[in-house]
Amino acid sequence: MSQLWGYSDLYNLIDQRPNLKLGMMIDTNLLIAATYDSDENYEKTKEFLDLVFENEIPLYCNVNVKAEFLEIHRRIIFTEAIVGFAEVIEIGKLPPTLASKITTLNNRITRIEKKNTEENLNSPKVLRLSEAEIKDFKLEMLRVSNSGGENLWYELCELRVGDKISSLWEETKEGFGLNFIGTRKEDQDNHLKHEPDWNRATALMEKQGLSSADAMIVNMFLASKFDLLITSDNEVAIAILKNGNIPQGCIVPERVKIIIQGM
Amino acid sequence: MTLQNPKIGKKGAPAKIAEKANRLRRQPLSKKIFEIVDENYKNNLNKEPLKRSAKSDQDMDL
Repeated sequence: MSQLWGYSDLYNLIDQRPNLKLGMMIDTNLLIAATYDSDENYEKTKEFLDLVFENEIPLYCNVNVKAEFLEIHRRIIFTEAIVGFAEVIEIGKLPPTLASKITTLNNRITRIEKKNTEENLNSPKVLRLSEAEIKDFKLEMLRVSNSGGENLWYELCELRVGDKISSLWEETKEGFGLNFIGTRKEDQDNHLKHEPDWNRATALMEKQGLSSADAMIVNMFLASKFDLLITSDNEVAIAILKNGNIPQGCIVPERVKIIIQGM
Repeated sequence: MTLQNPKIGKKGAPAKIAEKANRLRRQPLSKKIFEIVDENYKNNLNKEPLKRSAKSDQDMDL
């Protein structure tokens, strides 16, 4: 069975495992935690990655990480765009269905803020709309238009999204020095023990209930020669603990480690 | 495992990127968004059917 470590174990692991200097794999959630300052793991992850960079440990990922990163940041940006709109717009000027959705959203935000104040959390909870909720808002906002054919949704997209998601990815890729592994022969020779096949990824989805993107990332890591995957996702860490063999394992934020050990 | 010059991340990159992402996300709404909402509201007001009298036309005939 694989092993689980917290961020604070990195120094010891570097001493104990020379192989670590050759690289570690990184999961999408960790890239999100390090680039989104409202994420509950942001501060610790930022410090941890600075330590990784100081020690010149390269980070590796596959294309699924890129797809997931773009998708999660898209949801964050759209949620904040819609919340920003809800906070300042005169609800009486909106069509009834959109007005009702905005009122419900404002009530949700008030409840979250109240709970954050009551619980005095170090990392306050933030609202992130689901894909279905964003689609609902989109449909209603498309109906709000002017005589020039411009509508509310596209104006909001142009202003808040524009090319921000792709530029955010490019900067992350550069700043974090991300290296990609795929199924090219060169990758197989250097980084993989065997080719990651679909059957194994599908089995992870069926037996662990992982999403397809997470299953592809876990599958690639298990097929790789890397010792460690860095993740802040409980599900990904648990899947590796159940499927991997020593010397492979996961490094997670301390709070995630405590949660997993308590299961 | 032989590596050919893998890229290495830069210290401080997470904070720099998160700060920039935060700034981009928090841009104020444009004037145009309010203009679209206003115009749509006025157009819909004009489209609303005229309110009918509670008294029917037939009553008027009586």
